[in-house]
Amino acid sequence: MALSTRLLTLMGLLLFLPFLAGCGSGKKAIAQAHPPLIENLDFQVNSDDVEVDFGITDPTEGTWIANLFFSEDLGENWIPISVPSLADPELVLSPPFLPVKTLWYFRSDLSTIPQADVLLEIRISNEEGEVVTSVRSNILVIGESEAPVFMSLDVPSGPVGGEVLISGSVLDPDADHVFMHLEWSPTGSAPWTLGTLLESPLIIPPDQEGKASAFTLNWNAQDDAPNLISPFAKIRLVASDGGASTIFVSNYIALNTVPPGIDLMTIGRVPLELNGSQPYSGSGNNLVPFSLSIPQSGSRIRIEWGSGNGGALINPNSLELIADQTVLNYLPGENLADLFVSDDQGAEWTLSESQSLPTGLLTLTATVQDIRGNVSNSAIYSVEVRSGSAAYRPFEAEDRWFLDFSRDHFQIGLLDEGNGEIAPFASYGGDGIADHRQDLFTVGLQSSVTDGTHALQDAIVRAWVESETLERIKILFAKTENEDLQPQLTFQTHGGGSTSALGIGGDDVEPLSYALGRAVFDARNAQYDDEREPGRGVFSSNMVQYYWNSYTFNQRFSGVLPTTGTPVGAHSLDNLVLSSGFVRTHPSNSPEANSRHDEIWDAIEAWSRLISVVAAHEIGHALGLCSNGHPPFGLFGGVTSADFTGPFTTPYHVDTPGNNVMSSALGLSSALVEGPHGYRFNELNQAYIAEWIVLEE
Amino acid sequence: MNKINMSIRIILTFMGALFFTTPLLGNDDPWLLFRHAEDVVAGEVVQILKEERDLLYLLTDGNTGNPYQVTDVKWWREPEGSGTEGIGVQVGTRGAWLVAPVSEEEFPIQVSTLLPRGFLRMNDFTQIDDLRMILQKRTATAAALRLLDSKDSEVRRVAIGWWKSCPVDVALKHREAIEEKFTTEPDPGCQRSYLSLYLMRDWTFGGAGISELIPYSPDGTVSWLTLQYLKKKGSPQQRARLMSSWIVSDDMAREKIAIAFRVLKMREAHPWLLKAAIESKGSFRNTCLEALASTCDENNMNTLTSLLDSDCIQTRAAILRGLARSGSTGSHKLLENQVNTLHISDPLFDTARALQKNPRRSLLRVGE
Repeated sequence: MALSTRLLTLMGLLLFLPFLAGCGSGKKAIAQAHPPLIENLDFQVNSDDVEVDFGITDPTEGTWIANLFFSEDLGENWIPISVPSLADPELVLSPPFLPVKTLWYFRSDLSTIPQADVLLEIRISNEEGEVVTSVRSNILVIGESEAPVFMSLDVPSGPVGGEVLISGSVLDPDADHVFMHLEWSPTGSAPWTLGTLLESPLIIPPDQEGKASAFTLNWNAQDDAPNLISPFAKIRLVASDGGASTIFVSNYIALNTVPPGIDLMTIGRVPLELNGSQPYSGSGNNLVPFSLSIPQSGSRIRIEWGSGNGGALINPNSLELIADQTVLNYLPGENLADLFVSDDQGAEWTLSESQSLPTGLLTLTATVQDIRGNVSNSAIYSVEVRSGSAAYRPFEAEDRWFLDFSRDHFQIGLLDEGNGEIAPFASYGGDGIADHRQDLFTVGLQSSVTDGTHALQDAIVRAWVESETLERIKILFAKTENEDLQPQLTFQTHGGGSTSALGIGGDDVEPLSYALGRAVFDARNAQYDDEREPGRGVFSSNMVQYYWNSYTFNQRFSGVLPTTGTPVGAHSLDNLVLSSGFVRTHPSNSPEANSRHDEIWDAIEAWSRLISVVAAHEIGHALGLCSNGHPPFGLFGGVTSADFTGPFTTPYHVDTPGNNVMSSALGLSSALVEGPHGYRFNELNQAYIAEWIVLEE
Repeated sequence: MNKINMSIRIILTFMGALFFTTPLLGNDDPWLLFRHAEDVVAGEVVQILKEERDLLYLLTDGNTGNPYQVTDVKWWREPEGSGTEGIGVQVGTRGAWLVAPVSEEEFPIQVSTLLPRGFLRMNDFTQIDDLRMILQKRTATAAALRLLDSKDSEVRRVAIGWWKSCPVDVALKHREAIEEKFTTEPDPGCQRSYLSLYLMRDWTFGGAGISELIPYSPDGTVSWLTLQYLKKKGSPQQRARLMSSWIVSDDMAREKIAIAFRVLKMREAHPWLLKAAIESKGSFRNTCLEALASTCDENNMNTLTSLLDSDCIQTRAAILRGLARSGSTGSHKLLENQVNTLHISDPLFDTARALQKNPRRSLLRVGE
């Protein structure tokens, strides 16, 4: 089979590559002595010989020696032409440099006669024998060449991408070396594009026993056809021994080279804008760079990835992650992937106390592949590793928080304003009754502020409210059966063994204030805190006064409000629905009983949800949230200029997107939002609580 | 109200003791604070004095440039100043300031003349007369309508709040005007206020497009209030819009819609919920399973029974939560069967019993 002109040109280029790249000594000679130029090169193949014609030009008029070499394996090995085979054993070239014409009688040199496919090379040396330049022929076909034959081929037909592996075997009847290349087409027809092979140039030697030679080749489809989705692609393989070639065209191949992406490399789940990967906008639209600092041990490094648009699923085992420092026993550049736990959405490494990172700047570089082998772009992330000594750790010691519902600083009740309207009030001065109980009374979640006719029902509801508040605080701090953001931080509704305390109930001491709570900011949780004195803690009186007669308040409390409904205990069904034997889902319940149960729980849920959010906020301040400024010194408290902070960002508060616990203002309606869009600590605050980051001074 | 009767003694007691404290305020609706103001003034800050714990603002009338003075008040006192109570504005800030009720205290100089956080950003001072009218007159419909067109979103929210509490019956033409403004309102805060207004007044919003606030609003509270509206007043068209939104939404938006399917008891969504539960993971999957179980009927019981046999604890927990939150007798019977057949060593044994007893209680988050 005849080679196309284009293919010959290609092969010629490939075969000339060693020359074009220059060889060691020749390159040196070129630089130093201006070697002669070889011109008018011509090789004429005859039945018994090859006629070699060339000439040289040398302005320095030196004396040179030409030697001829041949290769039967397409340039892999070179052999000097034997003296008896040459018409002129040694070609000495000196001025006036006449054209050279010599003959190579090949029959005694070649092993495969009557057929051979060979390369010839002319090497020019100086008088010291140093080769200063050389030139090669194209493939010279001696005798009648037979094309190689593909004996087997395994080409994937299913969806492929990345590097496509093709294997098979090839036999050349003339026992020649076989040169192979690949072309591809997104439409399965012309034009064909030369494919990039990892093995390029691919030259397959003949089998010593005359059998077919096995080969594998890896086509870099992602580089050749980036972001391509085509079910009609084809490849064709061209095998040539220099004299003749064979072409194999594949069936349709579903080609998809859409790469996956690493969406985020971060600490914990801190989003891109908060993790130091990019600067934020400071005052005057200046861009302010910043970075996170992490402790040597205990941090959590996370990578999140996803398929490209139309791309394939991620192969979780394909993570390649290297560091620029020695990490544990891994040298820089070694893959750290086996330290990570991977799934189809990402990978995570929580460093144990026995695992320690080197201090200083640590840069991580990661890639991931999809199941077709398409490789993502490299994601690079740098953090500063600090010693994470006790002084920097907010939870070096256990902090057990007592939620105290028993404080008494106010007299609280309902007031007839004289215009037919009833309104809640709170006057400073203790009265021997817990403020929180009085607040519950104002919304109908207690029948009385003292133990009276319905003392049992009142006690049950108080216990429910308090336990619901406790549970929701735990949830906000991610303390559940399956997760515990900070084991050193615990909450309880009794004082025994507690280290810190938060008062819940009563009003703010500040006249005219409708603040829902207040706490002392305690940087890095340096000390245990008692937030029970007047003017601190959770002001549930203000919650009632502020939301009184608003829509959400009425919706949730109207069933039990003294003004519009029936307070707990006073309803005829309360003995039943508040009893320990009442099962809300029991089919025999009356609709009226279920309805009353739901009325009470509408109010309990609303109360405990808002109180728990406010309590979590105030405890957050006492734990060190949110230090002012950007990381590694702060948690964006008071950074109003950043484009990701909202209007409720003030000193020690940050209002990042979503319903954020540490915003400077919270709302009852927002506290009722279910699911991931409800109140939560932002991811940077979570990383601080979990001690995945450290704050510097 | 009761606030102004607080003793000055308290203030003096706690002066100086509250440094580095960080008060937290309600943000649902500026109207809730506005309604407690005695008066409202407009001005631009030209000077600020920092006292030990308060800030004093010198305001000028933004239109005349003259010092703004009402009766004998020249310096406007904000308690606990910059960065704590939240006004904390700088020189040059223009806005409306909520004047505190007059104190009857012995030392009025120590008493705030501004409500804590009593500030609305306002650039157009011509609106101040309308703000005063809606604060002081209970029938200021024309002023309240004009303020709905304010370029300042907080001013619009105050105006929307007035419509919530105004004692007069709202004329049809005014309701139509309000609905038109709601339809074109881009600010999430104002959308919250409009939704509260419609819910409080029990008004009907005709357009089906309101449903799209559930999946697509960036404000979770807007989504939640919209869901409350659909639960209370939603039309078939508005519910159907949720179905069409599901098709074109991503998982984050679909999770909100799945919650809506559960709250609205939309059985017609079962095929999609089941498909999503099969194909997805994590929180979205659990939400779909819970919605599936809470809206089930007799036709779905076999599916739920199969899911309850799953080896995956998260799957079973989500189904149990859904069954408990369902209003149907069949669901509750299935839950009862589970409770009766679960072995005491089953990790969901306590959870199932607690859910059966009271679906509203916060439980140990087993399986979440």
